[in-house]
Amino acid sequence: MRRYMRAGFATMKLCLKEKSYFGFFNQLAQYLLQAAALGAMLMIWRSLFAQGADTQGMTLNQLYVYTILSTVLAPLLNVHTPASGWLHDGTMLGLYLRPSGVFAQLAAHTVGGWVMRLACLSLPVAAVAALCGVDLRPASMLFFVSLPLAVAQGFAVDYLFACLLIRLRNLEWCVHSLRQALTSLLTGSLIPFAVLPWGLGNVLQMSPLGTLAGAPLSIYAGLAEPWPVIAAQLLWNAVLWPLAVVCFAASQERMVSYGG
Amino acid sequence: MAGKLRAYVRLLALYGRMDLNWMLQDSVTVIIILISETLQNLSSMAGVLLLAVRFGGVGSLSADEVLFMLGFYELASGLCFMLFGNFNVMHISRRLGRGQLDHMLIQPRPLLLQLATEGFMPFTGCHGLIIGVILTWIALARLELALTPGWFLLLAYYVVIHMALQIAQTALYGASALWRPVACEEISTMILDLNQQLGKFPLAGLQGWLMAALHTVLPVGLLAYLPALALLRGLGKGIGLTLPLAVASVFMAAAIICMKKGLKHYEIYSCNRYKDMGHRN
Repeated sequence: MRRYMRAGFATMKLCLKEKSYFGFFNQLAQYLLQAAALGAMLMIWRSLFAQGADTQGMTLNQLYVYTILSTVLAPLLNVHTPASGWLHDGTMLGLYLRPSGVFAQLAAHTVGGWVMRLACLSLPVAAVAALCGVDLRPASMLFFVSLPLAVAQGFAVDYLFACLLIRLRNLEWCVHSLRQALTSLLTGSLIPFAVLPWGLGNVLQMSPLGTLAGAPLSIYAGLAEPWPVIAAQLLWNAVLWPLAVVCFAASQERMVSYGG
Repeated sequence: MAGKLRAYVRLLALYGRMDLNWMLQDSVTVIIILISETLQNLSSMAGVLLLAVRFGGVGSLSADEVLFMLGFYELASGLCFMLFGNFNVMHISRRLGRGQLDHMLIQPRPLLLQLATEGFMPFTGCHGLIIGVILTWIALARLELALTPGWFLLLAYYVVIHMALQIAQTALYGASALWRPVACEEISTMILDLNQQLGKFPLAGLQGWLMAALHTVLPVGLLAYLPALALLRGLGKGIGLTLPLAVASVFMAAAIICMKKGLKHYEIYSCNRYKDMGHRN
């Protein structure tokens, strides 16, 4: 067990180091971009409240908390392993030469990549928000049950997208676009389901993508009943994980890499 | 001059034919790419639009006006993508940072002419433009706006300004890749993403200083918000007309100066990121 832990931490460290390959400026610019997008979303909420929109009982603080947390916890709510990129450039093949499972290596590498972002963007954003008077306390402690479930489900979804990439003959950009299209709206990472029109949110909240970001965020901000949401997360984990394992096993023989 | 124009048109036709060839030879791939990119375009607008529908508008804009603003953004950025989207011309920092400028310098054509033509993809890159035209058309029909030749001229003016701002910014920031190839390889992507994210937001209700910054230093407000106000509410006079032109001109001039300086640096130091086996480090 200790050996596996050590290997896991070593892989995380490897990823953390790799994040700085493109330089601090590159990293900083990415964080500024995300902070700017967060700022824009907060402005929208503020202007909606200022114009006296009927928010059906939702408070401005709830929407602020939801939006801020979606940025603070973004990598955990929308898990991106390096699988897609590594399939394209051939790094994936190297994972089979190491004495550790492919899933475990990808997971360790992903977790390592979260560290710098959480330290350089998430913590400062949360601190600034708290200083500005946003009440960041969770509405329900069940958030701490929902978050790990969302992360686990996120890994399963990511592996399924990797399988799709293999099936689509390494059309990385295409799968990236498709994923962006689906996740930006359907996961609830951008807009809370509770404010969507025509009751769309009620349907999306229980969907396999909706239980990714929307579930823990809604529970944290007090915009949804925790137990039905957690039950849906358990269900989708039980369905998606076996599916991901079977699909990945079936896709391995089809892997093709370009390199370069 | 006539010779240059002929060369420009000939090269555009060549790249257009290459784009068509790709579409005909690998139709399945092209269809998959078009569907996924169309979905991405639509979903990137859906958030703001759904909010506008749910709350009967955002800021000072009604839901239909928001639809027009989003349609205008798609129309202008779609046209820009169709003209300059291929071979990373818009993501110029990738070309510069990866040391691929050498590939262009050995071609028997001026650098500017190559950059102005090789991004052209009239068949596989027209989806954004088509979506933009459809959305703008729907919004205009719902708003029952009186359309005159002058209005269309104004529309064309703001589309050109939008394209100039996108190209100038990507070139200005992308020039940094001539000095720091690895660190700045993706900087054009970042600035385009920033425009994509913030350019579609109705900015009404912001504080004055922020509004001023978003219309000058970081001119995302000039990409769709101000044009939408000008085209829908007749702000296309005075500052509504001159500010976009002034800002676009400043960014364009800065981009030209920085590119020229960067190229001088590149002539001395170059950038070699390819290994003998063909992989990039």
